[in-house]
Amino acid sequence: MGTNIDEFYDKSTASSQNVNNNISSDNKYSQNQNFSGNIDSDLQQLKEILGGSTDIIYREFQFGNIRKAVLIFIDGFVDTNSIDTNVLQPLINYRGELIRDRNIFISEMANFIQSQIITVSSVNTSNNIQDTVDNVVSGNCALLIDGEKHPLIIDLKKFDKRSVEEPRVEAIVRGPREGFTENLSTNIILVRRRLKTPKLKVDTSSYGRLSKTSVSILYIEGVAKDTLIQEVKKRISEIDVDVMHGSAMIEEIIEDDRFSIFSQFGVTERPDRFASNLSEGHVGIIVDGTPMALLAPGTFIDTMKATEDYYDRYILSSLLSIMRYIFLFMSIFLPGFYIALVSFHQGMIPRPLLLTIAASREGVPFPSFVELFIMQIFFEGLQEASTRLPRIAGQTVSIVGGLAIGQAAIQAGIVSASTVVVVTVTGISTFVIPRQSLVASVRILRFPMMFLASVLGLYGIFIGTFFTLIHMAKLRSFGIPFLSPIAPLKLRDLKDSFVRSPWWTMTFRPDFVENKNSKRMKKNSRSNSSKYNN
Amino acid sequence: MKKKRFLLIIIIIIQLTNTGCKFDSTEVSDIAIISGMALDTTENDEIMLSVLIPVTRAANFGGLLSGGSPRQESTTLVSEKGYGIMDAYRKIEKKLSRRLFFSQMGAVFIGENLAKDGILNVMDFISRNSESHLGLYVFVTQSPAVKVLSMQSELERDIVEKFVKQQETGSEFKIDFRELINMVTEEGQEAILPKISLMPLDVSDNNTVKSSGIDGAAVMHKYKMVGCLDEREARGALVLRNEVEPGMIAHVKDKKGGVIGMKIINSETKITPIIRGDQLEIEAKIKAKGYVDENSSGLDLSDAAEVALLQQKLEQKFNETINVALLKLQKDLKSDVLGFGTAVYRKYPKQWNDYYSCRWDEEFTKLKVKVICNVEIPNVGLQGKRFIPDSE
Repeated sequence: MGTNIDEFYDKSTASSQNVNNNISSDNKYSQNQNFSGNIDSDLQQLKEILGGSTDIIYREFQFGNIRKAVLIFIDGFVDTNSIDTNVLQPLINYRGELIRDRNIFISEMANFIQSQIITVSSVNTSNNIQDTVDNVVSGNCALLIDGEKHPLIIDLKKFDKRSVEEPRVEAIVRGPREGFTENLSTNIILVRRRLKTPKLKVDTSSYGRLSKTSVSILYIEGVAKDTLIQEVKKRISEIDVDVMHGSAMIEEIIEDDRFSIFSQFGVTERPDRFASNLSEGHVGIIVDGTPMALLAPGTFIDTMKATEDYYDRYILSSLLSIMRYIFLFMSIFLPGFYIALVSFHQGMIPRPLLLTIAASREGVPFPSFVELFIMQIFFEGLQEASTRLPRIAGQTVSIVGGLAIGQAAIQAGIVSASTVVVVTVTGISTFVIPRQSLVASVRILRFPMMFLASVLGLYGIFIGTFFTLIHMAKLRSFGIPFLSPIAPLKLRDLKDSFVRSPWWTMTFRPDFVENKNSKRMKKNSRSNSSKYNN
Repeated sequence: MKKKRFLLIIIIIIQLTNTGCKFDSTEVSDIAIISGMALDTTENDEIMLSVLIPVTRAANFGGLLSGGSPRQESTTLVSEKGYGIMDAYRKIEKKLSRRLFFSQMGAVFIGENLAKDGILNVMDFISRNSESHLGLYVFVTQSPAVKVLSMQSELERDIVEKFVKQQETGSEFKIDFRELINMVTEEGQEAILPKISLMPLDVSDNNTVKSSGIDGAAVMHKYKMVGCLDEREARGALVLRNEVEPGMIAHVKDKKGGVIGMKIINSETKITPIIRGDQLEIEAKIKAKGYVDENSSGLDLSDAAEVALLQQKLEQKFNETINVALLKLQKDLKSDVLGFGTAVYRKYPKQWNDYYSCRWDEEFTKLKVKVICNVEIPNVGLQGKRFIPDSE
């Protein structure tokens, strides 16, 4: 009962008897086939596997004027300057004595080169052909030397990438403006800069048979619950796909309830939010190639928190937060309420309003719920269109959309003014929601509510609400109930849910962490003497 | 399992769309929203039912709402005669393109003659119909009630709205339908309703525009009207019923003809029945607080002694008003609208059940009522003396 993750592990372990290796090899060459040591035949083999791509460069040269060597890399993926100065130059210019002694040298050659000649920070040896091939296509350089069975893998990746800029969806006014980029190492650095502790663990592996995407799991040891970390790692390790299409794919594959309309992960593009969540005991997942990072577990309250709340003063943030909940309520229920009241329960509407609605509906050909459906779908279409617009046409469409939906339709008598008001207010309320995942859920929920309202009136709305609430209450994210801290009720965590209590009240870490050391702040961290300051 | 779930959803959708509460859904443009209802008797002993329907058709036939359109809305009065209320209702339905909608009805106006015949059938009609809401206000009007309904309101959208607003903010009798039911059915209490009369809006000779306003109250006995209370008596009855709204005014005249007016802020009346031996006596204790609104007399209100004097005078005035009301109710109309019977029932249930309940009509007329008034004026307004011209 409660936030105990352990109960749920029995279910998931039982269903995952076949745990595959995350990289399945369907190549012709088995994993363990080694190089022969003869550079010509090795090169031939590699060219067979890698051949056909004209951007793979085979740089042949003479090591120390005596040995044949080949450097294999992909053009555009490496830092050519560094290759020139740190790899080719020392190797070609080597005139040392050791090279002349064939016997001793061969056995220690890789070691020697690695430790004494190549002045690059990241150098490894490769064990077999498959490994080398994987490394080359991942952007590393492979160095084959005649006589050496283990090529060296040199990491000199440099490629064009987006610089760190303001996150597009989660921009805030007061606070940092850095957002994640598509590059995994950049992102990890952004996080490391904010959590400079050895307890921050970064666990990276590759997934995807074709894409070999790097996925990192980040957590703070000692703060994040061990069972949570294990479960996240386990679920991710079971993924076996062709191409890893970013974090959405991971989210869909490993989430607890796959049919739910609610996202059970936190999604963020901001390193500061990511880091602060890690410090509260969440486990983070960053995927190379996408700036959206995942956080497990994700609760409903998390989706309604805006990052700005923590950078503004708490009174304003709390009021805005409450207002956000009101808008959330409105964006789901307003169209349904309107339909229910106008079609079934006209007695509940105050008389002047009812007369106004009746007057505005004169001459309109459709029944009210059909009218509202049409307008709502049109509005959703307008939203879709605006995301796809080229920037130049943006102004036009907003004007046209506003005019068309608004004035012209009313004047033509196709829709009534009150419907347009309802649709517009609903649309605006949807934009108030901070997280896109919840926006999606709300947009989906709205239509069944409207449908239920149109067939069953207010009763239909209540039925819909109950079903949704039951589903939300049942939903769990890695064992944490989706609606905590509201259900089950954790009074101590409520401070940070609907309102944002000031920092000096948040002395304990959130409940789901359940660690012995739950205190994150010293109580009364203001020194007493400050009271007497004049 | 997946297939079952899918089928289930399909079944639910089909079932909802086919058999859901569609028969109950009504379009706003298919109902005739009734503002108010008026009931009268006619010469042939028939009942005339009139309903006031606001017309929501906008000026242009295209549906465009120009700014400020609610003002331009007009209302339609529809009426029919029948041997009973339902009969008249059905005849009205024949004439209209829409279904009558009672849920928004704000007020019911009962003509004097019909009230004298009895209002039970009216109450039955309203309460049995599941749409009417119990908060609607009930009035008795100088006959005929349809005349009141046909008038235009000078400030509001329609006449019903005017009376509803007046009830909510004014200091006259305010009886909604729920309270009427309580009064009619309760032991030891009779019903009383506010009375509407026609009165001119402007009493100078220029204007002959007719208007209507609340003028006193109509007193029922059992369910028939037996008489009226005029303005002053109604006020006394209000005080005794403990229904004084802030805003009621009392004033005293002094010898030179100056007037001091007091506006009541709050007032509480406690009715205590006392049985001494065989005799039943009612003690009415009234505590009122107010402030001085008008002073054209010679009293200097910045002097505490004068204020005390004023308080005394006001208490006398209260006493007088209440006694006048009591006189009318006890001797003339013989109807206990003040709830004395209920008070006796509450305090002496045994005696009530044994002796008084069947005789209350006569006992009420013989009842001795002791009235004790206590008026406090905590605030005499912004100035003490009245303006004194130089020459005085």
